[in-house]
Amino acid sequence: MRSKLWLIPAATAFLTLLPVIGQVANQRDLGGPGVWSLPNIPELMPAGGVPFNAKGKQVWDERQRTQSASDPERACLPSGVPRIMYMPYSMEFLQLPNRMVIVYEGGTHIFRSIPIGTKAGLKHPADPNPTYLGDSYGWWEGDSLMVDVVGFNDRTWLDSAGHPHGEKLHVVEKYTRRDSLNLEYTANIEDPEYYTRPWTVTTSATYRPNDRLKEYICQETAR
Amino acid sequence: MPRFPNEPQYGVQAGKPDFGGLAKGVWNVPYIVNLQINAHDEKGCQYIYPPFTPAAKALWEQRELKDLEKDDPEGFCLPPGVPRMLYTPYPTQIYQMPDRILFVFEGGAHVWRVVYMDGRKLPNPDDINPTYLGYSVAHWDGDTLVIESNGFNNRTWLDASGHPHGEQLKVTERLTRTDFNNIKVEATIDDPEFYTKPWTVVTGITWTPNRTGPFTMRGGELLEYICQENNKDQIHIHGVLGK
Repeated sequence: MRSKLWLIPAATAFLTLLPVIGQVANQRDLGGPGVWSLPNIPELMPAGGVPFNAKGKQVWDERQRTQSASDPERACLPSGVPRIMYMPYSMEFLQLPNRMVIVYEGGTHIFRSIPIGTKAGLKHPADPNPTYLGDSYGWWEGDSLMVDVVGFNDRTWLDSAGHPHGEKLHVVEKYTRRDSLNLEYTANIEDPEYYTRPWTVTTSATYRPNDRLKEYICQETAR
Repeated sequence: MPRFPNEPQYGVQAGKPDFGGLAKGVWNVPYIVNLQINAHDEKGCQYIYPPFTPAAKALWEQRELKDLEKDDPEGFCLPPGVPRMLYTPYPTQIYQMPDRILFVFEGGAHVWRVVYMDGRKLPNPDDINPTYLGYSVAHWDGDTLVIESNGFNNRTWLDASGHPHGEQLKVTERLTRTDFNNIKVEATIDDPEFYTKPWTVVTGITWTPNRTGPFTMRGGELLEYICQENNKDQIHIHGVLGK
């Protein structure tokens, strides 16, 4: 007779999680005493494939040939957006009335501080200084947090595999808290320099109640 | 009636001074190279040396006078630690929430620091993993925010000149918004491994509101400074010539 011992940890896990799975009182509340676990996605594989243009394919092929050896994230540089959402380090939302602060365990212990307004108020600086994390502006659309990001530098990769982007990258992020334990995330990626059309990254995060972020300092021994 | 001329109406922490987290602007952080200049003994006399133990004095002299600060961990883009986060010349913003305060820093590799205000106590440092920024809790003493921190690793310096500390370090920071433009920062350093008694450093941070014009182009926000982007200078720095 086959052992059913596996049922014990499975049932324990189920019963442990059972009391906290459920609707949240306010789906716009992304915070609370806990952290969001993020998945590790080394290579983005959108349905229908990645719509490279000739230049994008060329850069991609080169990074494949060199086995992603020059990944900037390995030099402890910020992962960029949306990649920071699928590096396997946790994050936490801290909500203020006029901004959403996201603090990350990975990507060198960094933060994003996103002003929150209305969709009609969406405005970026005319000619922003290119940065790793870009210039973000957010608003609520139903129960989803939308964040529009431009102003990136071209020094990050979209994933470990090496999908490229340039300074024209425009990302629209959508964060939706489905229930107490699950957050859906999509990022629309638009960069005519490397892709023939916009494409979408879909991923998720899961909640760990009563946990706190650890201090991970990538550059500690990277030198 | 607002406590300060244009204190926001919204009070996250009721009745307590606002540290500007909802306003457009940043706190400018001074560049304090040598803490002892800002430290005074009980009689109000400036310390010639902080109350070093002999070993600490030797270590500081090695770092500052012989090695000329060449091994400063902050120069290798590691987090400056506490209280040094408020002595780097990079601005900060302070966000107040009901259960915590969050500092976000332009410098120190674009890091954040969380300070819990939900009534929890400091942990026993033996029970937690030592970190660069430690573990911080805070409470109000009148209108002064009192932040206590421990759980540090021994990999940071207290300042650029190399004042040392170890894992027994406990820091108490008292932040008082003395007027609209200023927060007084009093940091008490308590580390029996390196100092014979606690000593206090008094500095301040100053508010820069969102302005347009030739002098302020940051739009009331922190800039993105990524120290580790192209960090090549430090390895070329040498100590005293010929040594």
